Amino acid sequence: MLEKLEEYHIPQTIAEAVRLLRRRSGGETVAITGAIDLHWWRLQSARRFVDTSRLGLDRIRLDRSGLHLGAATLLADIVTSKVAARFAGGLLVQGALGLASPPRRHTTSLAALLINAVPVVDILPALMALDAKVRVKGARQRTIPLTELFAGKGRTVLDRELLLEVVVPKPRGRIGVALERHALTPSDDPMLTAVATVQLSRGKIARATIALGGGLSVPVRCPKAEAELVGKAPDLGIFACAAHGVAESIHPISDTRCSAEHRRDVCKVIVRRALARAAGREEPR
Amino acid sequence: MSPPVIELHLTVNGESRTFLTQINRSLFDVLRAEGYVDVKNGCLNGDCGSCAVLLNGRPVLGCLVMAPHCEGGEVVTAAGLGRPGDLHPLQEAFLDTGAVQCGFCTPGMLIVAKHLIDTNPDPSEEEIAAALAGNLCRCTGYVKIIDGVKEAARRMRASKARSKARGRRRS
Ligand SMILES: Cc1cc2nc3c(=O)[nH]c(=O)nc-3n(C[C@H](O)[C@H](O)[C@H](O)COP(=O)(O)OP(=O)(O)OC[C@H]3O[C@@H](n4cnc5c(N)ncnc54)[C@H](O)[C@@H]3O)c2cc1C
Ligand code: FES
Ligand code: FES
Repeated sequence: MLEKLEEYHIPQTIAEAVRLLRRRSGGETVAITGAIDLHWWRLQSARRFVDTSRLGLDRIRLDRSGLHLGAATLLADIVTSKVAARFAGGLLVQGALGLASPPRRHTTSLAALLINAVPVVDILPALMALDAKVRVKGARQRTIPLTELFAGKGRTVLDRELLLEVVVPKPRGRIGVALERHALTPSDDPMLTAVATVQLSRGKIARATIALGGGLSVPVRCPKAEAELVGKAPDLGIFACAAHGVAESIHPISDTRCSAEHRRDVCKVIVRRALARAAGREEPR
Repeated sequence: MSPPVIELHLTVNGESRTFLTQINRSLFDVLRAEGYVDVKNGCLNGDCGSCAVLLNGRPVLGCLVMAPHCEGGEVVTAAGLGRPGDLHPLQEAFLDTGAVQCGFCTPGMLIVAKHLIDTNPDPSEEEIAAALAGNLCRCTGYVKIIDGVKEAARRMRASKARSKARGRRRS
């Protein structure tokens, strides 16, 4: 494995890590967090690893702008974080628990999930529904909304840039959140996961967000359905209608777990349920 | 050019060790090559949990962690939890409850269970099952493993209560 690897760097500063990542000569350089996804082609062809685990990028903190999750934060640390548990109804903790195996949660970083664009860990649609952005550094520093980060299956728009942190803006006012995951067993990858947030004002929907993960090539937001909900009363019929719209708009995959067609049917149910729960209108099961 | 060789300094089961390893090796590769055969290879894919060890107190999958990443780290394998005649309560309880059949999954189970009990001394059956979700066993059907973890946690709580009471009597 990794037969082409010639150098393993453990930089102590962000500047040094960025300098290493931007070096063009001597073959491909990739950032890792120390653990690896052995099957990943990007790592198999790497000549140089830059281990980002000692850059202090593993902190979780809350400030006025929102929740900051360092790129090297491990999913296990999100699960036990009191700050994360209190933020947005604990949605991110629930998302991190979507990767069921504790030793894998102790080896998987947020950066890796984002860079691999893996939609099957529920934390990605959860972050997307909460309008998260990523801060990255290459020749210069820039901030990219999560909705613009993924360039296709397993690809992002980053170009030899270091992922520094994920910033989740503090929701303005009261927000209802819900995550609905449909899987064969609690520890299996979900066939589909729907995350919804709803903010109500004077009995009407002031803002809603819907994000999907699981059996899609990348996690997605559903802006059309979100816009159509604004100003409507939060009733179950409206949510069922929105869920139909979402199911029509997505491009699910077919795999060993189920067909794309089945995923579309699942979508209609779990988006409706997520919206209803986020709006505090739990439907009878 | 083949991947270069480095010196790797680790504390394994309380003992300071220096290993020579190529930089493309995993922690699992290094430990197995050095005779820590209680670290098992069930898949080398991160799927089965049988290569789990504690790295700086965290349960990690040896097969997915790069060896150079562990430089200066403290590793505990299942054999480091106790020794014959002085077994860890988890090892003892696994024997007493019949949680071991072929034994292949046992080291990984013990490591993950050790981390669970250290962070949650009185886990429910559901919590034990959730903690062991990444560890596969082809023999036991899991029931006796869960019993074993529960029993070990009970014994450890009882022993802690006893030593606390002794401490109070002495003072
Ligand atoms: C058994 C098994 C089960 C799995 N189950 C799931 C599952 O249920 N759900 C799921 O989503 N995935 C699953 N995966 C895939 C998993 O998501 C990947 O293994 C994981 O993303 C790798 O994490 P890592 O921390 O080891 O990342 P690394 O291998 O260190 O990094 C992955 C990628 O991110 C890049 N990167 C890392 N840090 C940075 C940074 N700071 N800046 C820029 N780029 C960076 C690397 O260059 C690399 O391309 C599973 C994998 C295995 C082996
Ligand atoms: S051998 Fe590492 S998880 Fe199976
Ligand atoms: S006892 Fe045989 S695999 Fe678990």
